[in-house]
Amino acid sequence: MPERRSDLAAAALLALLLAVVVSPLAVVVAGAVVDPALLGLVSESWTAGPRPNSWFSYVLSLYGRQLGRSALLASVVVGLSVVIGFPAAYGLAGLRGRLATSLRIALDAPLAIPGLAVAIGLLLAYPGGRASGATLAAGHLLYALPFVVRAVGNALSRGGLLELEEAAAAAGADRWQRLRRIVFPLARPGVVAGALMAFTISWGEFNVSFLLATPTTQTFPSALYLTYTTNSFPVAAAATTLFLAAVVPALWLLQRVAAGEAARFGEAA
Amino acid sequence: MSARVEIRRLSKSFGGRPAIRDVTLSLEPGSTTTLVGSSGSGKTTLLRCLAGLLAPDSGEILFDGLDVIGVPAERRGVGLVFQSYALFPHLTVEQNLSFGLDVRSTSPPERRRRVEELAGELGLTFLLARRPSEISGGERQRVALGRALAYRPVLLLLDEPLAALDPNLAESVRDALSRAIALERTTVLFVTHDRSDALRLGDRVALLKEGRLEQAGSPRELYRQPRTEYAANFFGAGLVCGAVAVREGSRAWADTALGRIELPDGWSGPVRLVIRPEALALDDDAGSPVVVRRVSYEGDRSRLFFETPSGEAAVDCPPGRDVPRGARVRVGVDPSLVIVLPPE
Repeated sequence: MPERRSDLAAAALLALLLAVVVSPLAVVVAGAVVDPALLGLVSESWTAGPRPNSWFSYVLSLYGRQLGRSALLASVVVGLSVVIGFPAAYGLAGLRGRLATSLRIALDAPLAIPGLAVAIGLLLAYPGGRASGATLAAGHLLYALPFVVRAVGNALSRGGLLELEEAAAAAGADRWQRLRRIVFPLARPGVVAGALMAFTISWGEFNVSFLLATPTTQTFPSALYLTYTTNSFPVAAAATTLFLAAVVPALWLLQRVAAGEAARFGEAA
Repeated sequence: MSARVEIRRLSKSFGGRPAIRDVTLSLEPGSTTTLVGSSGSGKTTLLRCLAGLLAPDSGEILFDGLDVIGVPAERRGVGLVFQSYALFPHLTVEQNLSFGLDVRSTSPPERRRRVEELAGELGLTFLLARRPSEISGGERQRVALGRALAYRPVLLLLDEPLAALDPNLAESVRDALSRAIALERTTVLFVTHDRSDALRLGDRVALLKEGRLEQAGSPRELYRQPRTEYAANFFGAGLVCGAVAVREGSRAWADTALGRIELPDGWSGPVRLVIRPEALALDDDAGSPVVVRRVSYEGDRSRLFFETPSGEAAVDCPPGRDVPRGARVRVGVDPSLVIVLPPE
């Protein structure tokens, strides 16, 4: 029963992964809601601070502006990455050969370049956009777009888009009808998945944001970093918990979309 | 509704490599033409030109006398069935069937009537609510056929619709196909690489070789009166031997490794003879002696292979008789089944 054995191995690996990834998060989340003394973390400065139940409101009063800014930035990045990413993925789906490969590599390149280099490049290229946050949004977009294009592209190619469009054309559907009845519905799960991915990327992006931020464009992850370096552990823990509160549902939805898509199309690719 | 389709001197190359060359062929309204050839012979290219998915380099395509080159696929009114089905995965069987009616804004009652009619013809009535992922390969191909027939196409194009199915399923889809085609009375072009499908499904057969039309005609014509050695061997391989036809009065004959063969009137001088297994029979009294080299047992018969000075030939042995390898038998020729070709 080699399959059963590999199942066991996979389960063990998963458990290990969960322990490594989840346990530090659990400690942090716990730190935000319970008395730090219970976790064995004691310091004289905490006895003078606010009560553990109000760490969240304290963080909100401290970083409410950064939270709002990150949310706004993430929304803009999600919107733009879908508006740009969908046509890009659709265009790429119809391309073959060297050109398509080059375009895909160019699209993925920012992922391989250190955030520092991307940030400096953006600063040099668009110095004027720094104050308004436009440069920042461009930086996030560079990271979010490849994921949106990939997700939409995969959704489109899984059904054999080219042949489906040909079948639709032969059946009498003009360009607009093919887009509306075939391309959009096929792309939809990919668009949703890509948008969620873009959100989590923008929400958590640190490197570029930290380097490009001005006092008026600082994002929440930058604030989070400063909290850890300058504030008490419960405050940082509460800030981290707020951060996770936005990301975890997005990741959960992402899983749901993937599972739903698999159930919908089955193996009839 | 079915169109007369005329293809005139059609050519198409890809990157300098010709895919179809100077093909001229007409499809009679309501008839089924099978387009057959080995892979790479240009069958699919020709079909895609007819569908409007590919623009030919030169030549004309006429539907009922009207040139359709330049008319986009969606306005040609052709039905297209792919080898890979290409069903819309996000739509149900019913929505797939009615797709061509939906984009034509057909009235809902008419749409419903037509979908029900097709589902009945194709045995899909109980699958209408399913998605393509939830039905079998044979069912998918019947849905694809229904989708292409729904809007009563002037021309139905089938691109190897049976090639992806296992033989038993292919048989049932083949039946569904010929029944539906007979009911719908549309002009059909059926692309296949399978010679027996080409012969049994076509009113006419067109054989392509390296992008050129090798021969077109009735299935019987292509099988019994091939004009080239390629066509002869494509539909039924046999021994090809050179011979000299001798004419004497109204009779003509040629002497071959298998004895003297009477030829139809009119032949004289050098000829090529194609002798398929069905032109031969075991003949213990008058046949030429040969030695069996190889036996292929096929249930309803055994095929016996033997060497002649012109190459290997085969003769069928009735199921009741057991001839072992190495046996000496006598083989007679039925001259009416021998194909005579001019010399190369």
